[in-house]
Parts: sequence; structure tokens; C-alpha cells
Amino acid sequence: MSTTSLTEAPPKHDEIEVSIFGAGIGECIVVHLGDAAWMVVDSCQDSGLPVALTYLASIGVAADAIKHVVVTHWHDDHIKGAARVFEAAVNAALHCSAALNREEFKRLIKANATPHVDTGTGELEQLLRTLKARTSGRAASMGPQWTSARQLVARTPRAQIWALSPSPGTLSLAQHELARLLPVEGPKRNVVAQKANALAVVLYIDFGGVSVLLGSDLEKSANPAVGWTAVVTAAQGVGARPSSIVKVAHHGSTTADDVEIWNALVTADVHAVTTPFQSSGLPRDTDKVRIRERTANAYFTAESSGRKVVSHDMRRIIEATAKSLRVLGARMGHVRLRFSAEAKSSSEIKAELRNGAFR
Amino acid sequence: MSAAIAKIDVSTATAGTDEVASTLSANVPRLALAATGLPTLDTPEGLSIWHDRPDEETIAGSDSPQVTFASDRESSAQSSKISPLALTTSSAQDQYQVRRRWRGVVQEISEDSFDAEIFDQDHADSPREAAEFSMEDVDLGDLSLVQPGAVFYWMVGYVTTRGTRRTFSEIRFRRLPVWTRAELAKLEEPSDVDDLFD
Repeated sequence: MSTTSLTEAPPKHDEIEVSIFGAGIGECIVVHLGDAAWMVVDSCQDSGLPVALTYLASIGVAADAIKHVVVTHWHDDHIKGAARVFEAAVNAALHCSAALNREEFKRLIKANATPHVDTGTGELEQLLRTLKARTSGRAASMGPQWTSARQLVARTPRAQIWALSPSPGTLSLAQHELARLLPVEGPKRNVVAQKANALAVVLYIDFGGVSVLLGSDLEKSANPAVGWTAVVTAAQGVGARPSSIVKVAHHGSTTADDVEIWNALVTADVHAVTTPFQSSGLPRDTDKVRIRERTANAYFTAESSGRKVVSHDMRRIIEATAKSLRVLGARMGHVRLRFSAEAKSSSEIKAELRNGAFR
Repeated sequence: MSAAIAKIDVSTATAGTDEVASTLSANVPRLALAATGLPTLDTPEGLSIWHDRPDEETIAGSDSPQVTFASDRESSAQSSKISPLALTTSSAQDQYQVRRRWRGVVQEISEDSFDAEIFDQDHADSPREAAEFSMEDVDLGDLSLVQPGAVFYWMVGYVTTRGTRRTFSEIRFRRLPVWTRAELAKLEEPSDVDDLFD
């Protein structure tokens, strides 16, 4: 494994790439599936533009090479700019968590149109409207692909992409998870849905030799029918092999750190990439230590802490009121992992770090 | 809705907006608001800050005149960048100078504090910020409003009283209208949103 500065050239047709982007808030994963076909998983923005589009343009790849757009869940830090990505990706299929294909989620979208209410569903609604406009008059199969565990999301000449969540147990619980976000009689307020991580899509990509696990924001659960225990079961069900690359779930938090991920789903020398979520200060220093103990190949796309407010004339009174105050956001860190489609092990993966990403 | 009229000195504001005036008035100490007939000085559009619409919201607080304002969406459409240095208001005794102001959304609540994301009201392109506030800094009358998703305003600045300047910082929560049964029922009705999932 080597760590070098990034070079701006697209991967060869027989070269696989997994690029993981993350600033202080938000993450996006761009995957070259081989043969000039790309997949974008989640979205975040850099300088107001979706980083996936900016990056692909920078290496000379047109957006129409994106064949799959996956929205693992609808939280702001995973979906911002996804509608623009999908709008540009005119040849792409859209994949969303099957847990969202429910009456309760439709109501959340409808509620978003009510004055004084922000349910955080605007970006997903825009995505679905773009898809609707694109597929109007075409076959029903062009509609959104509602994804759940053990489902083959896509197959390409060099890759099989499987969903390992949401599990059947999660789909049963989704009604409750979403219903508790719905408005009830009483004052209007925004929806802060950060707790609904159980509905997220975890992906497993099998390239024949090397495989990849993208953990989204899925967390552990005491209920073995949901969370990471259910993912381990699903992985066994699809015959998944230990992955050599993992996007660490939920920004490296302890709530997502199931020991079975490390024991059963990834290799001992896995390339583990964590994106921060500065609003919660994730990953914490203890999380970084723990992840580094799991593997020698641990990467972080950006620092976990926001910058302190710079000194100015009102600093004293500001700090007297706020117990802490951090400016969120950092440079858009980028961890790029490339390997031959014929690669068999982690040692054949080349890691490149840039824009503040670090080991 | 209580129809209150207060006028705010926005002496050099580049745009007269409901949001500026209402936010300012909502966050300065109540004593200032209680003063009647605050002069409007050099206000290009001659601001007044009351509305008489059914969907109005109010800033929490019971012992001051209720200042009402239109929804954020309406306000932001009208608003333009305004230097915080330009925002001042005065009563017979006090002059307020707002130096920074944020709109916050409560994210998480713990026993004695809450976390919020806050957005600079005067610089839309500012990076997101996160802050933790002590419950002690929330007005007693606002405590019941501190819920995930609740919106508040935080302003800091100077207040000058008889030539003596001191700082002030105030957090005030929005008191939003309640969901009506008709609105809730509408969420159950078929709409074009349902078609998006086919």
C-alpha cells in the first residue's frame, strides 16, 4: 500500500476506484465499477456544488457515466446536492431505502410544504420529481428502486452490488420510526430526524477479488432483527466475503461499532475510511483510537471538531452565552482507493489522501 | 394575535424587511419594546413591524407587547444582506446595537443544555455553526418551547444607557402556530406526492 498525492486522471477500464469525500458535515462516495461505469452513493457539497460532479469533471468523466445513484437515507448530511447529481446523471437509476416507501414518509414530504415546517425531505422530493419527469410515459420499472437487505442492487461485468439493509425487521419497524416524526396537534416545528438511522441502506460491492462495505449511518441495536446484527445475517445470506475496504458506519461512533463488523465482515487489514460529523463531534478521539486499533489502514477525511470562532470584539459575550461554539465544515477531504479489477487483497489497494484527509 | 405596533430604528439598513425589524424587536430586552412610539429614524422604507394575518407567529414572552411577523420564508424572500452594525434601536433610555444575530434550530437536548445548529442571519454564505447553550440562558417562559426542531433567535450586541455601554445577549424562541386539524387531515389526502413513489 502506498500513500501519495492525488493525480488527476480517470481510472482505466480495468481499474476500480472507491473515492470517499467528507468535510465537517456530509459524505459522498464515488465508485468506478469498471468499464467507465460509475456509482454515486449519497451526496454532499463543496462550495455549493455536489462534490461528486465536481470530482468526476476534474478527472474528465462526464456525468452521464454515472449509472447508479444511491440515497442511503434522507438525512441532510447524506443527501445534500443529490438531486443535482441525479439531474446530471441522465443515465442513472435511482436507489432508495425501501423503508421510505411508506405512507408515513409521504406524509412527511407533504408536511414539508406547510408554512413554518421543515421536515428535511425537500431534497428527496426533488430527486423523486426529477425521476418522475425523466420517466414520464416510460415503463413503470424506471421508477425508484426501493432497496432492502439481500437485494441485488445492480450487476455489472466486474461488480455485483448488494444491499445488506434495511432488514425485514427494520421494514416492520419503519412505520413506527417514521410515525414518530410526523406532526401531531400542537405547535409546528422542524423535524430533526437524526435518530432514524436504522432505515439506512448498507451496500456490499463484490469485485471478484476485493470487496467493499459501505456502512452508511447504520447503528447497532439490541434487537438482532435490525441494525448490524441483521447486516451480518444478510451478508451470510448473500455469501459476502470479508471486505478489504469499509466506509465506517455513522462517522465512527460507538453506537455503530459492532465488533461483528470487524470479526465477520471485513479483513484484518481493511482500509477503513471515516467521515466526520462535526455537529456531534464525531468521530471522537476515543473513536479514532478504537478504529486505529482495529486496522493499520485507518483514514479520516477531515477533522472532527469545527474551528473555534475567531477572536473579535463580541467574542467575550458570545462565549459567555454559548458553552461551545464551532464553525462547522472543513476542507472537502478525499480518500481515494484504487486497485486492479483483478486484485485479490488489501495490499494491492493504493490509497491516496488529499485536502486534509489523514491516517 | 395581539396587534402590537413597535417601530424600530434601522438607521442605515440597506433594505427594510419584516425579518430585520421583527428579529431585532423580538430580541432586545422587553423594556425597550415596552416603550411606545419608538421613533423611526432615517428608514428608507419607513418600517413598521406588524401584520394582521392568520398564519403569523409570535416570539415567546408574555410581559411585552407581542411583536408579530410573517413566516421566515416570506421574510427571507424579501430580505437582503444587512450589516449587523447597522442595526440599532432605541428607547427613551437605551440604545441597542446588534452586532451578530443567528437563527438556531435545536438538535438535541440534555438535562441542562441543548445543542443547536445556528445560521448567521446576515451572511447567508457563512459556514454552518454549532453551539451548545445552557438551559439557564433560556427565558423561563420559553423553556417549554425547547424541543428538537424548535427555532430560536440569538442576538448579541451592545446596549447603551445614559452613556454607559454594556453587552447584551438574548435567546428567544419562536412560538409557532399550531397544526390545525384541517392541515393534518390534508396530509392524509392523495396528492401528486403519492405518484412519486410508484
